[in-house]
Amino acid sequence: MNNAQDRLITDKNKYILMKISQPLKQTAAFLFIILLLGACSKSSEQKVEDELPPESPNVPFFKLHRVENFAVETDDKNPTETKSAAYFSLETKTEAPAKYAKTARWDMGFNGLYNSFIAGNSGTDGSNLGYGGPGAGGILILEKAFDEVVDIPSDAQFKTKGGVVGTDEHGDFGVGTGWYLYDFGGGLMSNSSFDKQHVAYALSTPMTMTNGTKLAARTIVVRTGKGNYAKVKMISCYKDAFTPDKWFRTTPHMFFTFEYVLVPKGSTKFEIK
Amino acid sequence: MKSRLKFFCCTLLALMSLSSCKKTVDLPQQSNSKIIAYKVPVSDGSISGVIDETDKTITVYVPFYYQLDVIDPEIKLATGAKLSEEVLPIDVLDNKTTYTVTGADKSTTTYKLVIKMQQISPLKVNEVSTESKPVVWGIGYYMINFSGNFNTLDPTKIKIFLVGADNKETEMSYTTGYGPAAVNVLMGATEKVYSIGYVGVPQTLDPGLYKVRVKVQSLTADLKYPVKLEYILPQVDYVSIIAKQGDTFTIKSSGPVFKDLKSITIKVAGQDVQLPVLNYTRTLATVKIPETIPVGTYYPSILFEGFPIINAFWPITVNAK
Repeated sequence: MNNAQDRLITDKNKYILMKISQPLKQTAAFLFIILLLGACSKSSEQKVEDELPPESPNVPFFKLHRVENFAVETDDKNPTETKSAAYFSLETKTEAPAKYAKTARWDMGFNGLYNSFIAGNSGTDGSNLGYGGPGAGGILILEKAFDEVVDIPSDAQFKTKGGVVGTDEHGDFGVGTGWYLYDFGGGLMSNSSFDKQHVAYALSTPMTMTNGTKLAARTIVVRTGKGNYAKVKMISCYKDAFTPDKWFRTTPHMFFTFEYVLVPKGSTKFEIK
Repeated sequence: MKSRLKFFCCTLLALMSLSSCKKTVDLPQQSNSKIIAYKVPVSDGSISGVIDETDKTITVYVPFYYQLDVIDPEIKLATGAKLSEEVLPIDVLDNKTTYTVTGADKSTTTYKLVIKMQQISPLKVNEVSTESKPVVWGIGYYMINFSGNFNTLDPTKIKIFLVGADNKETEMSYTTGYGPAAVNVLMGATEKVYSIGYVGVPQTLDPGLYKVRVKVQSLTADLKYPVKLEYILPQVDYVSIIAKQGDTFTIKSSGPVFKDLKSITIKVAGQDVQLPVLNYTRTLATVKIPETIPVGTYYPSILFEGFPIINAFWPITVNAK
């Protein structure tokens, strides 16, 4: 063999070796990756819940609930001085502390004169007690009896401002349709006697004024801080006195008594099951 | 041929080594006592807490403009894990909250909550005194105004303290005879100026020099110049008294306090008659109506030592015993 033949054989061997080693290298690399991936697959797995379980309210939906004598601060010597707002959670049927104003843990805010103006809990309206917080609430009032309110109004109808539902325009110092009629002199709803002056008549049932005007019952509809719905019948603001014949200027006040039905977000009807 | 054999041997060895590693490279099972999401709902969405699994902290940055007093978090846990505590709203200034999570694998992890307030700093409060002359406030006086870059309209978020020589902080009062303190805002030359009014000097403090300290949530500012507290003409709250001969009644101060109450006098048939003061404190005095006082309505004159006489315009109606 000459040198040229030797070189040819060596080149041939290299070629064969290359042809064999290339797929081997690729196979080894592939196996290596598979092994690595296989080794990693178990420990990197971490199952998580997709969503938080929905938070259930403490009071059941579709039931009639009654709150009696929910008391707020009152000072008849300084009637025009605004008192601290009071917060009530329809979802838990309890008063919420003022510290929770900017949370979704309350649904009706009572403030203004004698804490008699009611608002929903809205985080987006600057005048609302819940401004800045997550409250998704609102409020409106209907001239309909509680039992007749079946359909839930559209979200666009709810008002998000602070203190929007209070004195009725048929009475003194009225502001639109209200949940109560204030009788300054006692003559709008009664005989003008001293004891019947300065009485606040909750309009939970139809009433007739002394001038013959008939007033339809009022029902408040609340979208709660968490987005559920409630219809509310405001019955009285006097302690342990739930009918007009028991309301006098000296009857202890402000003690709110009301009934309500709570239904979940997405409902279209108020139902009692 | 030799090199080919070497190559095959190496490849085989590598494959054997790698395949023999398969079982030992399996990473250890992680505990599932984990908080995997921490969110604080606010008006325009939610603030996400930063969960640090290294030092087991959850950090929440709270911008001032939400004006939150508390955060009310929504906490998401790993599958099967449970929290030891009920999730309740937490004061934004709180620094003690922890959450203990117990996993389905019975492991437990405790996370510490860190709330960081994002406020415009520094807090700047306008001086009420000058370098040469401290302002003088009566003890119990409540018509004091402060201004600065408070960046809130909520008076409860602005805490003002008088700090004595003993470094004790006493918070100034907010609810006064003129109603609760209120905050107003005006556009100043370069920034908004917030002013809070109807702030009162606590009735319990003694005369002397005090430093003023203002806190707005996580920010604190001390005024450079002190203020001086003194006794000033006491305030006697309006009251309509109806009492019988021989009875006692009380008078109160919700403002400048009583100091050296000398006498309470009424005019009976043109003559001054003193009503005995049985006892008094800085805020309350008990006074007796002598049995000899005739039935009628009287307007008292009240004298505190060192001050002009106060001629009250509220009545004392004396009825027969």
